[in-house]
Formats: sequence, structure tokens, C-alpha cells
Amino acid sequence: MDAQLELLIMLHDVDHLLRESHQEEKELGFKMEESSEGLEKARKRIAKKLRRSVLERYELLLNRYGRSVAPVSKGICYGCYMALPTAMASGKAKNEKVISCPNCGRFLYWIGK
Amino acid sequence: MKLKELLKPELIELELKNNNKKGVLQELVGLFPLDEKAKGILLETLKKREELGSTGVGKGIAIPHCRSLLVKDLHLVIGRSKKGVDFGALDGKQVHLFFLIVASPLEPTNQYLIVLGKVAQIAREITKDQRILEIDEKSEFIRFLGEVEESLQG
Ligand SMILES: [Zn+2]
Repeated sequence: MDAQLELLIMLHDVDHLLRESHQEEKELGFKMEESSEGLEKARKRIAKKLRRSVLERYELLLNRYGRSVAPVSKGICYGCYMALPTAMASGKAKNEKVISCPNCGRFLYWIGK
Repeated sequence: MKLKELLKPELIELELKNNNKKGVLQELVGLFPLDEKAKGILLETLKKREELGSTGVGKGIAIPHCRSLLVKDLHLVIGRSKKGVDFGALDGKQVHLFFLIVASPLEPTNQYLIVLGKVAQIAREITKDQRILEIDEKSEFIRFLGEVEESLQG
């Protein structure tokens, strides 16, 4: 897996954690620490390792869609639910470089199982 | 969704070898049907989730969980440690049973929250006695959890 893509997935999952923690506490009663400072710091550490252009795009997509990375399964981008062009869907470069969906622009991650 | 549909022998470890938080999470993640790289990322996310607050909910039970891009479906991995693990549980007690739940962020029906709620409910039920710690066979373990689930729906 491409190292930048790996970081993108980590950033995506961390952003999700930060967003969902409130819901977990309210709806499921999981006790949360008062501060999420540690996680914010971890987010910064991950973001810093991303290429500037990739990070800027990530933040842009996050603001636009609330989520910047979309899983791909069976040739479909699960960000916009459009089929990817055949050449891309069958490409050998899956997860070996940072690729964006030609339709919605989200970063793509080909999901295994 | 029934818990039974999620209970699979290959996703259960009745004799966890590790006795600390990091080691146990690693051991549980090891059971996931993912490649090594993906397992590494998932482990990081779970550790970060614990930083927000321990999922050791008390009475010897922990329910580590997160959503991750890496999985397509909802997965439930169960681990047991008879000796117990220091997991930073809310009541300070050692944890004996781990229910690790990972779902896709896209999972549309919110099964994730439902399953989390259900596991918490079952966990409360099974801690009323010691039986769950005494079962030796995975098939028996699965059957027992299924029965508890049924009884709660009753
Ligand atoms: Zn798309």
C-alpha cells in the first residue's frame, strides 16, 4: 500500500473518531475523557507527514463532503456510488498510489474483504 | 441483526496470551481477515479510540470498537483471558472478556450502534455468573452467547 494512502486512511479514521465520540457518549453511554487533546495531536502528526497538496485536497474534500476517502468495491466508488472507468477499476495500481475518483474527487481505497 | 450471524469460530480466541492493553488489542486484530498493513492501521485506530476513554465498561468486560475504512462489513471478534488483563477499565477491575467490533464508516443502517448496544446488554447478562469463563469449546461458547441473546429478546 502506498505510504501516503496509508496516512490518508489513518487520518480519515481519526477524523471519524473525533466526530463520533459525542454520539457514543450520548447514545451508548461510553464514558469519554473530557479532552480529546491527545487525539488532536495524533491527527496533527499524521497530517504533517502528508504531502502538502494531498493534505490540502483532503481538507477541501472534508469540508465539502464530510469525508475525503471513499472505499472502492466491485468497481464502484462508495463516495458517489458511480462506477469507475473500466481502465481504473481493473487497474493494477490499486492502493499502490494515491488516486482520486474522476467523478467526485474523493481519494480512493480499494477494499479487500 | 442477530449476534449469532457475527459469531464465527475463527474470530474467537478463548485463551488470550497477552496481559496488557496493547498486546491484547494486537492479538484481537490479528484475527481479522485483513492483510498485515491493514491490521497495523486498524490497531492504531483502536488504540486512538481508547485514548478518548477506555472501552473497559466494567465487570470484567471490554468492548473496543471503531469504524474503519479498511473493512467492508461489520466484524465481531471475541477474546477471553481467564487470568485477566489490565485494560484501564472504568471500575479498575481486570478484564476477562473482549468484544471487538469494527464497522465500515459507510455502513448505512447503523447496525454498528445497534450491535454495540446489544453486546453491552449481553455483557451485563453474562457477568451475572462465571459460566462464560468456564466454557472450553468455541462451539459451546457460541451456543451459549446465542442462548443469552435469545433470552434477552424473550
Ligand atoms: Zn466518487
